[in-house]
Amino acid sequence: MSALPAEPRRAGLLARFRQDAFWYRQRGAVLSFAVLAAMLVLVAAVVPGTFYSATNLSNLAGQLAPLFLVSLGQTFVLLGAGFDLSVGAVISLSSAILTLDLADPVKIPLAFAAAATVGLVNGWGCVHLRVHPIIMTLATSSIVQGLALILLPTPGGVAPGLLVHLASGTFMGLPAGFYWIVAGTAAAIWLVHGTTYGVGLYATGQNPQAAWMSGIEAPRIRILTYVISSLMAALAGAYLTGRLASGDPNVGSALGLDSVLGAALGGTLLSGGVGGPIGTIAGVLIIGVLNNGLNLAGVSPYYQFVVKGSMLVLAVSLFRRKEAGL
Amino acid sequence: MKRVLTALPPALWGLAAVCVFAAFTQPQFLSLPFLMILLRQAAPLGIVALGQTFVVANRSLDLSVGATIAFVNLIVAHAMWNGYPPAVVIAIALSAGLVIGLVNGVLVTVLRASAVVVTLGTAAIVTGIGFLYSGGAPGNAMPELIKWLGRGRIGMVPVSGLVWAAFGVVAFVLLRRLTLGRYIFAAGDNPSAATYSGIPVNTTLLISHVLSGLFAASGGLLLSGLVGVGSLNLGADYILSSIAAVILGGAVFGGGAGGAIGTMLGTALLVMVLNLLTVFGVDQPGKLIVQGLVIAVAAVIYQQGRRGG
Repeated sequence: MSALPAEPRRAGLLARFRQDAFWYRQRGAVLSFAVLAAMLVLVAAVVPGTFYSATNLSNLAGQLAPLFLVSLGQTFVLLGAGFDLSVGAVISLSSAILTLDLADPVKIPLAFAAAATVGLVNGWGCVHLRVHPIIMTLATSSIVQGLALILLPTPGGVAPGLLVHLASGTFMGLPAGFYWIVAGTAAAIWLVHGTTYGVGLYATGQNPQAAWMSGIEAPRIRILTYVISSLMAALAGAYLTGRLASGDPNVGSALGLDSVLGAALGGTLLSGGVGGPIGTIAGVLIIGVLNNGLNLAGVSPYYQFVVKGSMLVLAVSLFRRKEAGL
Repeated sequence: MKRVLTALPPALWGLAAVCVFAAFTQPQFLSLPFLMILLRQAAPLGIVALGQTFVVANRSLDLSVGATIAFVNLIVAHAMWNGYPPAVVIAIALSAGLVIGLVNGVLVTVLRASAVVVTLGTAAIVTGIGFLYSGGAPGNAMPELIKWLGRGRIGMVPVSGLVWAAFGVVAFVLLRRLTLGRYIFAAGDNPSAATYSGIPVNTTLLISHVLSGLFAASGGLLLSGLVGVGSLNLGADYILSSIAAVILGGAVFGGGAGGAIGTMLGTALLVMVLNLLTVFGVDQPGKLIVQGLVIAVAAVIYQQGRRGG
């Protein structure tokens, strides 16, 4: 796991910290958690009672679950030096499929199979046809959004009973959304930090050629990141469909770019190989606390645009990269 | 010969195919009056896409063009400018675009933040400022000059079409006749190699973003004139369409085929395909699918040609 060039060993805690491959990749996450902590203190000072009330926190978990799932999926793609703009459309497509006039045991697997297909097409186009990820996923997102609108022209339809049951109410005093978040996050952290797939993913994201020459199946790993991202998007779509108890062909449109935001605010670089799902937890929570805090503080939605945009620019500016551009 | 073929923008073949297809199925589609209507409709998108060309050829992206268009629209429709000469209003609108582009450029180059995220952030800020400025109620006090630019005609030719052509010439000169263009394509094709060759990569990227902001504001002026009133979310669909036009034109991340002419052909192809679909009664979902397929096919063909040649 020692990905860093061997530096002469220096004494001191900071030097050792810098030489550790894990912390090198998670340095953005450390910053993100610091920002998050500062925000939580600020919120406690401005709207103490309302923010930390059980109702508000439970609402927040319910609202943030879909963003958590897609941002975690997006994290995989970004780690593999890719980019997935199609997740918003995949969420909408799965919502449309899940409210089709079909039996539940048919349409639930169908929604996930459709998402996996979109992921495979994205990965195949980016890796084997060498189309730039932004262009490839822009094209598929347009196609998938069109399909979603054909299957479900207007919001409506009936959600599968199982999903309604799983996405609403509370279990052991905690809201359903909380369990979706924990399950998604645990799965993502295990995949990245607990399997050989994760080791290969970091190597591929840092340098696909070097990874390939080291015997890592870089193309397969990169294609799989798009499949994981699409499946996470379908999961977010399933949660949203269950929570609303009906379908909406535009339900994912805002989440596509927000997912990049969640991952980027968590310290995952868009150039690949640096960051990870742990940071994404902080990134998504920053977005959630910011939205929620501004609403509770009664800030006009017009100012919220300005504040959110400035926060975003500020946060991303903190993570300097080697090259300017995309 | 193969080099010549792959050096041509993908949009040229698409446009030829669409024209042949239209000639056999809907001949009236190619009549001069109808083409002039298409030209007037395509001009605002065409100018925005020309601006996007600089950025995309420079291996960057400008997702704030939609917000810039909306902001320009709110400025020129605001009652506050009643009584000012139209030239002043236009100058203010264009400076707004210039400032947005400059902010994008500085953040992308000096802070080296990701262009995708930066331009999304500035888009949110600009949208918020626009809402605050208009108080959520867009005005409809638009100078007649801007309306004339957007919908007027000289003889049969729409004024906006002429403006598009003028911007096309400017973009062509900047990209293909000046050193700036060479720098943009070199930096877009391989930023590290360009840096080592002594090309001022950061300044080039900064200028590209400023140009994109300026062109987006100009396209916004034409679109405002065409619509004739203030509207809160004008231009939202121009973000993806402008990128699509650049891809069809071939100027993808320093790819040598594209440029001003490629992007103009790309815009023409996009607008023709979408209007042809309307003629055939295909509605919005079908158009989205076709637009996506067109982008994907163009990108794949272009990429294969590049690898082979």
